[in-house]
Amino acid sequence: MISDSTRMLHLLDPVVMAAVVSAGFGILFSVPLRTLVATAMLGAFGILVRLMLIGQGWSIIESTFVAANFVGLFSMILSWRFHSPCVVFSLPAVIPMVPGVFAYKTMMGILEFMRVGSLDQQLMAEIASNGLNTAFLFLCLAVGVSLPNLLLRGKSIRSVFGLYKLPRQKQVKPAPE
Amino acid sequence: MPVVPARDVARLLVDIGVLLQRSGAHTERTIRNLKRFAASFGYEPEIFVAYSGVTITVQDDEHEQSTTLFGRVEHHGVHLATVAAISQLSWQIADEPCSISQVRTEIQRIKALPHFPRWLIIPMIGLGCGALARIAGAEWPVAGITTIAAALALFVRMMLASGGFNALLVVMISAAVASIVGSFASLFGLGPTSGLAVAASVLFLVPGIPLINAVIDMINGYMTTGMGRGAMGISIAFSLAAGMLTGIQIMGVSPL
Repeated sequence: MISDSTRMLHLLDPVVMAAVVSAGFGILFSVPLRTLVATAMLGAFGILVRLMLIGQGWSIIESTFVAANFVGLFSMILSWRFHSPCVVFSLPAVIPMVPGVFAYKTMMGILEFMRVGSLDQQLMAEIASNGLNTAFLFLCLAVGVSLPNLLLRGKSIRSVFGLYKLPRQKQVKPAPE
Repeated sequence: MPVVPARDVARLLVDIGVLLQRSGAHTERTIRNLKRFAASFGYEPEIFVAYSGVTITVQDDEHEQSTTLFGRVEHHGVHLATVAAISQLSWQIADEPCSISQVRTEIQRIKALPHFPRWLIIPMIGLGCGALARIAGAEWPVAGITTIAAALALFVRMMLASGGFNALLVVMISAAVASIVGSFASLFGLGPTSGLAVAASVLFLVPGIPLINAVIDMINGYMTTGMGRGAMGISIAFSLAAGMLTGIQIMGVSPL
């Protein structure tokens, strides 16, 4: 898919960074230790999809939407594999795609607008564009994370796919009187 | 055929429900897990989840008993390992039912699950925010400053949070700290991307989980929790903005 090796290198930097971000936020959100690597990989995968779609000429909102949905789908597979809820994987994995810079620019634009105090159309357009980008990107991420929920209609993934048993790694111990 | 008194089951369910809501599970998941626990004891509960608490009614038709209990959700944190462990436990006892005291012991164990140690969280979040700056296109030195700023701000946040301050005030102060430290990137003249240090170092404070949970809850039709979580998320975002503005005004750097 990627013929140019320099473009591959361009993608590599953000992908590795996204894995670091997902691992960091996974630790902040106290994900189980055994799923931490999978969470980081999923975060890297999400940003890879997004960057590749942007490279194909998609807009940032479209590509984020598709990437977030991919994260949601793969979180279902991982949740089946690791016997953990989908959110354990999908929530830290969408964090690298959070529109932080757009939000910052919106806020700074509003501050500048207050300071100028007159109708500056250029500034208004920037505030509106950045603000709408922030809102829609956030909505895309939320839809992506809740995709398993929407697809399974409130059932758990186990009742749809699996007749597997949980690994008996630990027996329920009797109460110490 | 229920042999466990309705009151005991209701008490257990309220405990689990509060624990789930406290750990950042969305409402649909809480209700699904609670129903699975109740089913393994032969009951079918009625559950109402609000932002500030969980109400559960358990009816025992045979003995004509019914119990309604309310449990208060004191703070809304995030602890995904708890959510995973409860979900796993609910499947385990659905496969092979065990006594209620055993389940209670397991829940006590899950309740005591620790967070990751501080010496690991602080550098990892620092690196994470630095990496976010890098993704947004910052130069390496700017990403380095972002790392330091985020780690310091997280340290301040943990200190203040353990001191029992208001959650919004804690967010505001740590955002101010992050942007004060992040402004040094501009003061040192680290190039055109130095504004990113301020923008990226506060990103760990962004209320991502409350906002995403709010959307999920509303999609599933749990409007009360959805609105509550959304309002909380927006309040946190506003106090984050206020803290950033304070920091930027103190340091007098020009915006991005």
